[in-house]
Amino acid sequence: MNGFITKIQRFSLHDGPGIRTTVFLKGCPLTCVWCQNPETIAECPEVLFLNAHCIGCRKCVKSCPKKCFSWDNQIKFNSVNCNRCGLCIDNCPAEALNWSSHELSSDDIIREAIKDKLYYDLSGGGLTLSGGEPLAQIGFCYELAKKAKSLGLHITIDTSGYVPRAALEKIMPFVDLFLFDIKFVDRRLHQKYTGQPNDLILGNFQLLCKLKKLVIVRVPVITGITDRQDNLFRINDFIKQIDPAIKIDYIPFNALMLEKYKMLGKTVLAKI
Amino acid sequence: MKISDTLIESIKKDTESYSAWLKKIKLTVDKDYFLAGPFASPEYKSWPRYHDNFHYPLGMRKMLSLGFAGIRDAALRNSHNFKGNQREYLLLTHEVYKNITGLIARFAAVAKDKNLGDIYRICNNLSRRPPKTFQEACQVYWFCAVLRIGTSTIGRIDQHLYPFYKGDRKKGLIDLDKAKLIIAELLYRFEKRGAAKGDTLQNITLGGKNSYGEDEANDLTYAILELAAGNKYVEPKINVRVHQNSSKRLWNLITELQMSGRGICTIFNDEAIINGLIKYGRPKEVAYNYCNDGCSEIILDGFGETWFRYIDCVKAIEHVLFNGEENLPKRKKMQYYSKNEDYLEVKAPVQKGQKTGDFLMMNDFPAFYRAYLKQLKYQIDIMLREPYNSDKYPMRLFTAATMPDVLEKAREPYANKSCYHTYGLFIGSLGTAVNSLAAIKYLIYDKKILTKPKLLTALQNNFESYPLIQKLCQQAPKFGNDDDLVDKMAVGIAGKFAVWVRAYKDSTGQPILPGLYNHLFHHTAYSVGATPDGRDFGSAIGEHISPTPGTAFSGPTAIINSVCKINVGEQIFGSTLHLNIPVTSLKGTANPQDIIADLAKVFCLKGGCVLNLNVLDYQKLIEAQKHPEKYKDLLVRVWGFSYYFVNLSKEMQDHVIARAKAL
Repeated sequence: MNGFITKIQRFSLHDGPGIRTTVFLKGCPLTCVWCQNPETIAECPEVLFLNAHCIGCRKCVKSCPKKCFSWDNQIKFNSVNCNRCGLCIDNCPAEALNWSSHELSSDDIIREAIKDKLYYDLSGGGLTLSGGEPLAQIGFCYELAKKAKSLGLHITIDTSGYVPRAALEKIMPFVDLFLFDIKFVDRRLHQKYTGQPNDLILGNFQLLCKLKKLVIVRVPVITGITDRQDNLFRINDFIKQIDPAIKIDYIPFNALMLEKYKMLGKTVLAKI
Repeated sequence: MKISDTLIESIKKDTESYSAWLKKIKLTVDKDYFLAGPFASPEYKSWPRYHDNFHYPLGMRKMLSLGFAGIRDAALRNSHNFKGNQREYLLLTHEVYKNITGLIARFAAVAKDKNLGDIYRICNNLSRRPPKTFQEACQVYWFCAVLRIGTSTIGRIDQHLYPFYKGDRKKGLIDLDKAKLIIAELLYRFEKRGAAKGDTLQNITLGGKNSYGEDEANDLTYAILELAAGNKYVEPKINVRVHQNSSKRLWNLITELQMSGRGICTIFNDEAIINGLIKYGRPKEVAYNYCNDGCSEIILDGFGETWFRYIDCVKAIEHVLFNGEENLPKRKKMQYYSKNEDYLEVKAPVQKGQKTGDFLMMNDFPAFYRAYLKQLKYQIDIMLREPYNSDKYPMRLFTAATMPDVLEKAREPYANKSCYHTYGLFIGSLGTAVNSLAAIKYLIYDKKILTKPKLLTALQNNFESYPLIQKLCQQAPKFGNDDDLVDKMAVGIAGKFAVWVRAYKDSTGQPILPGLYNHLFHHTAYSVGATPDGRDFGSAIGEHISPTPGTAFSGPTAIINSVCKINVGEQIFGSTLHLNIPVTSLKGTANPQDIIADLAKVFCLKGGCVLNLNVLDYQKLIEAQKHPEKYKDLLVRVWGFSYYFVNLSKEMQDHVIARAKAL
């Protein structure tokens, strides 16, 4: 079975214990305004423009039927009208234009991940599935996790929690650690900033805790949005009420994502 | 083997001037120090460098077991068994050592005058007998440093001194704290002696395992590493031998030094190196005694000397492209690594290649690759045609007497079979050469994106006014990204190189050792024109077996994997990976020291030989280049040594910055 992958990152140190390889899966049901990986939101592949690779040949300007590209001493990319025909990518000689995701089989990923097996074994690392929301591609995740587990890899899932309960239950036996995002306890605020209510998320979280799964909570700390004192306190209270032993990581905002919006030819969802 | 007349003549001359020089050594004895002797050696006039290249340690085991007096007496005693030049040779050795013990007696007299009982007793003892206590052994160490004239490789200091420490401990003469104080003074003395001159060759090698597989790291090993972590010295450069049974404590100390980014702690992998040495005909007990040379070359501690030549495998690419000719833009002079040095005119070791035919007529990649190997072989043949040594350059007697069988058999160490000299040939910049081959294969032959004349014109113009072609070249596959297609070429070239070099023998019949090392990488960047991997003239070039700075973008695990595909156990003379971990990538991780140790351990498991791992702060280096006054104590690795970043030449600073940017 194939999955849609935006990136495979080796020597990843921040997505679970030890030295890991993190696979970023494409597609996410949430639209958090601060999204750090905007290229993973949409399910379908998008055109990604790498200015650093551009040689300024302007073949994209000529080839695009929707006039997404313009020339002003350098290429300007606006993807509003993009219909994903891919002509620009075919015509780019410098590999400055690429699809944001690629269809890869679980074997492809295992092949890449297994290269660093020695590092995982020594450091207690392994494979992390992240995204996007990895469990949005549950069939693929299940197959991948199962294969990786059979090779003895430690598996971490980095999830928003906004997934059907059945998906969570299906993958659970193969997962060693869940990195579980909790952004708001307040339903209204969650709806406002992520586009979806949080009942499902909090319910899933309670389920994982009840089943004594190893969970680390991740709270993105976004200035003026999630970093309000009452929100952080409420998240803390909510979690400690369920299990005081659960670890909470506070994840700082990373301004790198602004560059990513540029690469996608999009404007930022909200000013942060 | 007989000693020729010309040889003995030359030795006589050197002995005369050496004995005269001994008189110039200042009789420094100070109540604030444990040890006697000045920090620096007086200047040695009419400097015949070839009498000693300082790239190998003295035979300290022999020196410490016999003492100066013991060598003096043995030389005289053994001289009766020989005649002619051999007898003369030993008598001259006797004379040198008689002068040395005389000098030490004078130190004793000065100490007596100053009422320094301890130093008096030690010097007095050393002028008559071998050292017996730890402090006496340290004193011998320091006298040897001064007596050797130039700063030189130190060797396995913790192993040499440990028996004395253990003996003293048993007798209750010393405790660890006292020993640490003396060692600290010894380190301080090496620091002062090096006088921040950079490439001083003052390397110590710590730890290691013995032939029974036991860990030889001892109290002194840990003491020296702890002291090094605490001080901010440049000298001596610290190298640690690690193996599968190395302790957690050792790894903690190593990674603590590596986290500091000073680049002073290089790891040597016992398993790979010892096996490699045995494969190259070194007996087991000798191989287990390896240590490092002035840079990262591997030599045998106390078993003879070393010398090296080098060729450049990037240059061979140029030779193929331009049919044996060079392609250099207007010759530019460059500074050696330090700001204080003069501008040099840079030349490649082999400037003109063979005629391998017109590049335009090479219709497929195998044809190009064959031509490349031919050019490389041509360079090797030129370099190894001449033997490494001849009678003209004898080893100075002070040094020679500490080598095996010199006193017993009255033999000059060069032709002495029990000496196991380490002669090697390096190829540098493998990473850049492979990148160039990969770019040609990918752009010209496989994808046909670029035509041959276009590439040649761009290279001839150093990519000036050809930015598009340069970008294309830069985006071709690169070494160090765990990409089998590229890495396979590196494996192939390295393997061929090992086979070719092995065919050559040195004066004692041992094979010449190959090494993937290039301490003159900054030099090479100016002796090779633009390369097909998109690197322009003067830009950073890959050093040793490291990827070209700025081209490995898949993380350190990929770099280690790529490099370890090469059978570096064959490239035994020194195949060093400079691995830089950006400090930002470790930020926020729970145990960065463990992560680094794990990387190093995998490197060893995969058969890597020498690893210089550093945690570098890219931003800090950029800042330091702009505001040198604020970063006077910022130390970085150069090649076999670390140096103050702000004192490096601009070219070298740029190289270090490019290296830090690599990930």
